[in-house]
Amino acid sequence: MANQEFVEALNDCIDRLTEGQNIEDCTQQYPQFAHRLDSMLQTGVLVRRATANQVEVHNAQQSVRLRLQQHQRRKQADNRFRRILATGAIAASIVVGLITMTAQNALPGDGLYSIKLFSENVRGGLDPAYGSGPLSEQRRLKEIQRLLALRRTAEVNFEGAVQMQNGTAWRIADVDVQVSPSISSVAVALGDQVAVRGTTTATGILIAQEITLLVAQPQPTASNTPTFTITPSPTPTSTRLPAKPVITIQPTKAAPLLPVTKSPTPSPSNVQPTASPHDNSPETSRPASTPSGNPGEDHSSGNNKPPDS
Amino acid sequence: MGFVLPDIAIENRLMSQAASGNKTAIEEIYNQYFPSIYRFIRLHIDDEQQAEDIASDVFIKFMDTVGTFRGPHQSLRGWLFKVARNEVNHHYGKIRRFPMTALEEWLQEPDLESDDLETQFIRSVTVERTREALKMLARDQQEVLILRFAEALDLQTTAEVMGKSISAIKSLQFRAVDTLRRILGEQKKHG
Repeated sequence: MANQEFVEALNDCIDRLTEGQNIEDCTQQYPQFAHRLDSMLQTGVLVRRATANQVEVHNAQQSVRLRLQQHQRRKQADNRFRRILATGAIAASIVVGLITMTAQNALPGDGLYSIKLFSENVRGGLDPAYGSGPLSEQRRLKEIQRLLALRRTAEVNFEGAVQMQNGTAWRIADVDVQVSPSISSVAVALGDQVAVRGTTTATGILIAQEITLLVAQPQPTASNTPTFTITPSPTPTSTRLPAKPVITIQPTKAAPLLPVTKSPTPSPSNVQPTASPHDNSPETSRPASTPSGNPGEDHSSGNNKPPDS
Repeated sequence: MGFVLPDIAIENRLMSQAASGNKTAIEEIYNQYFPSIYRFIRLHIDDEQQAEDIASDVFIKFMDTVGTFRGPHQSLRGWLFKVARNEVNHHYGKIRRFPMTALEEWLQEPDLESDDLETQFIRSVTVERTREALKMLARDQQEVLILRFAEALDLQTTAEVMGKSISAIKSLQFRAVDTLRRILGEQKKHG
């Protein structure tokens, strides 16, 4: 207990010393510990005397001051560099942002169009629904519509369903397409999903250079009118078709796929009676013998397909 | 007594100004606190150049962090001494022990009957002998004596710098002074 009292007394005296009192002032407060406190406080004061002398401290302070000034200069230079870097980064971001915004109105053939596609790909990476599928196709189709309206020449690619086939004039995904007689393509029927590569012209039309079948539309006639393919007597004309590749469409050979436009005034001699239900509707222009839509399938049983003449 | 550290009110004002980037305040802090920090380091480090390097590191750290969350917030002197202490620790490494003279060889039971003579002797002890005796103390005893007597830190700040409780500091400073007194008494006998 006495020891604890002494510990407290010593602490109080050290506090008094730090406040500027002297040892005698302090020991008078604790007469019961006066001798011991005096001895210990004298010892403590020795520690202060043992510290580095004023000259050494002064020299060290000058030396370190120079180091700090050098450090400060380096730090300021670093800060300047960082500011320049940050300003450059912000400016670059603004420029990139402006270019990207401007590119959103770009059309195929424009210099910024590739940037537009790139930004769409980036956005598509974050939102798959935006990057591909119907939304992406709608954007491409709008671009084509604008190109046609502006009568600008550009190479375009798009996908869509075949909505109309009238000779060389087709409509695919609401876009009127002029199909060149010389192009090669897979057999395409109404409703098929196709990919089109073509060119818009200064006259405001789109000329297809290549049409690729993506998905064949299942033919409703296969289930609706099964009797058409079964009841007619088989004809031995099936040997003609293997010689003709169905994958390519030549204007003259494509005619069987376009019975309505090919024969606007059919004569009784070249129209099979069994095919007559189809003649009134372009929707059934595909031969009934290919309900599966497989282009490589043998069409020999299609009695409703008029022979070329 | 001639203590060099400014009042707490002045310290707080300087710290606030320094935190807002006032260069004059930073310069003032350097002028006011460098001597104490350097002396504190110097008592641990024998080599003057190394002591300068460490003191420089302390103030560079202060300049780089003042006004940030890593800089001083409550007690500037506490923060500076704490950083100085850490830098000294770093200098010696975490594993390597502080340089100490074998204390046990010196210490015997104190001769309590000769208190008056001992006090007279202590008054005549030279700086060199005190430094020598200080180095025989355990490291935390050295520190508490330096912080409390040489740098006149209050109990609270000393506890913060050393990472101990106030009651632990009271006991520690008692043991430290008592041990130093006994060492100096032994030196007297041997001398």
